[in-house]
Amino acid sequence: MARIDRYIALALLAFSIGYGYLAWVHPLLPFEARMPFKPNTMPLGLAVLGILFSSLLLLLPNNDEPPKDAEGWRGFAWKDTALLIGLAIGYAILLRPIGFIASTTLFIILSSRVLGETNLFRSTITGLITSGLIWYLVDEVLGIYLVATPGFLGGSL
Amino acid sequence: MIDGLLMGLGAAISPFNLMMVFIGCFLGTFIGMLPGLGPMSIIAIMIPIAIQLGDPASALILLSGVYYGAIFGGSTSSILINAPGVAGTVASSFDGYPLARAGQAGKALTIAALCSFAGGTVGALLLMIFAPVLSTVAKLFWSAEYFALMVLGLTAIAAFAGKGKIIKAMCMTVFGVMLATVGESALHNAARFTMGIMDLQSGIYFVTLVMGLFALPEAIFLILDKSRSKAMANNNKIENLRISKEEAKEIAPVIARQSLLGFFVGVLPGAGATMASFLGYGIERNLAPAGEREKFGKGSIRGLAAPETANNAACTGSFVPMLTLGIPGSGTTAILLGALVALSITPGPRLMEDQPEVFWAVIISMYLGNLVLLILNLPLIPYIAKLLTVPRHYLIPFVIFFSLIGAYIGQNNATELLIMIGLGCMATILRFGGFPLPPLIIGFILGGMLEDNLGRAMRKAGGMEFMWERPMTLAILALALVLLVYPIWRDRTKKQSD
Repeated sequence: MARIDRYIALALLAFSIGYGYLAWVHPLLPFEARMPFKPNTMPLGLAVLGILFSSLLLLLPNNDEPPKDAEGWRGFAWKDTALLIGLAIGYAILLRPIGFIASTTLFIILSSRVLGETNLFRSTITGLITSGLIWYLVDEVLGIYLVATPGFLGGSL
Repeated sequence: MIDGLLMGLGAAISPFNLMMVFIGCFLGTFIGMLPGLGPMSIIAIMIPIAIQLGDPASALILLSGVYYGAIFGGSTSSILINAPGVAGTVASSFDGYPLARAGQAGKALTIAALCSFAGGTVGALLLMIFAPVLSTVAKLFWSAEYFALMVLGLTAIAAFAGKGKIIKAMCMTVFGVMLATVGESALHNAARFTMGIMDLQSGIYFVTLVMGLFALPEAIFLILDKSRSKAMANNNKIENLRISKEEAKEIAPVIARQSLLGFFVGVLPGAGATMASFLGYGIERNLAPAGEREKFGKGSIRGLAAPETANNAACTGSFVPMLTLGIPGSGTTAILLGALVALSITPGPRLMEDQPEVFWAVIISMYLGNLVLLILNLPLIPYIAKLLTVPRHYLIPFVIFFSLIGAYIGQNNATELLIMIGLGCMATILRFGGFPLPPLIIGFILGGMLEDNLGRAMRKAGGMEFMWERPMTLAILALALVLLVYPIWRDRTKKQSD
């Protein structure tokens, strides 16, 4: 079976072709078309290099060491990983609507639970303290606006 | 010069100013540990407080302390959780994080603190001696030479390419430069490759990319492979802070070389700490003996010492164009320049003559900032490194949370978080395929500057002729070619002799 790096090389080749196509069709203003350096000059060069290197990866024999990160992949915790990525996506979506403190606390409670924390009280306290401290540091001390509470409790988007 | 030094010392060493250095270093270190808050944003936040102080010397001393503290804080998050918040500390994570994973977090932080101190102190000495001369040399560098310098920086990819991986590293570099072309460039107003997504109009945010490439995949691998986090917790002997005599002997020449290199790279406007740290890492890897070279990327103390020394020396070097020409050499010095102007000081060729007390107070505050940082941080290292003893079921959510929030507070945009998660998944797949990620980030960081300088040089020359018509450009490009070809040739001859 072909190694995963061949599939990645194929994806990079497709990406380079697509990138090159977008660079080729990039609309140029009349004065830009006469300039020695156009907005698509470097992208076109990069697309050529991308196609060249990814093709070399596909064509040349693969003689590098097998990647260490992939060792023992059959025993990896794929389900936990998918759940954590799902929680991170949920955090990104909920951060503004329900506010920083609630979304962060919820993220820490749920993700620590997925990873084996059984004490709900401890994870809730950890989540509340972490979110409260970071919110205070970022919003109050550093003056970077971070919506703390949901819209109906006074937080705004 | 002695009179000036005494004048600077007199201004800097009052109890109030010493307190300012301590406060600056302390705040800088702790805020700098938050990914997404680099020296630039922290200094920007501290400027109103510094201006309130009234005295320009006190204000600059406070800001210098914050600056050095923030750089060390950034290195800390790079080393402990593989989350470099700023470009200048990315190279520190290449060997610093593997050292932390191998149970040598304390030692890695000690090396980082000592090298930062050495690089910063040597840089301050060099600044004092060479400031007027170097400002003249920096003026000789035009866009053509800067373009060549960026190409030289990109050849550092050879340093990250393991056995048979040079093409993969090149692929990643090109991919990184491609990502840098998303959005508007400095030379053209029309946005490119945004696919209609408004949030990509100004390009991909650096912190989003770096968190997506380094911190998030690390968290994903800690979840995937439970043995990793167990090994990390078991190996985590924080009391191991000491550097042996052999290790000190090993890193001493690295510190000497990189202090000089970092400083001179830092002097060039636009090059800065990032370029210095990547170049320093690449050069030390090429200079290392064969056995030691294999350790680079897996926890080499040389690999950690080189970027840590170079980036601090470069930070000091970047003060040369600011103080002597009034041109900021980096984003951070641009903000400091703004602070100086707000304090009614005009940096430039006349600063040394018109306001010598300010010029020398800046130099003395650099010495003090480095010294205080060392005194303050060495005792704190065991406590900072204890971060790694946090149980796995909290450590992983915290790494993910700090990565997400680092990307969010920089842009205040939730779409950044989704882009970051996508990048994190992509980086994990690339790691499964054995593709090295450092070349991608180098390509991204240098890509924007590469295009700007290539564009300027081509417009000025009317084509590509500048590459062979300007001797300095040709010399730098030839050096870049040697740096790229030499490792390939060396590997091939070694393979044949084996």
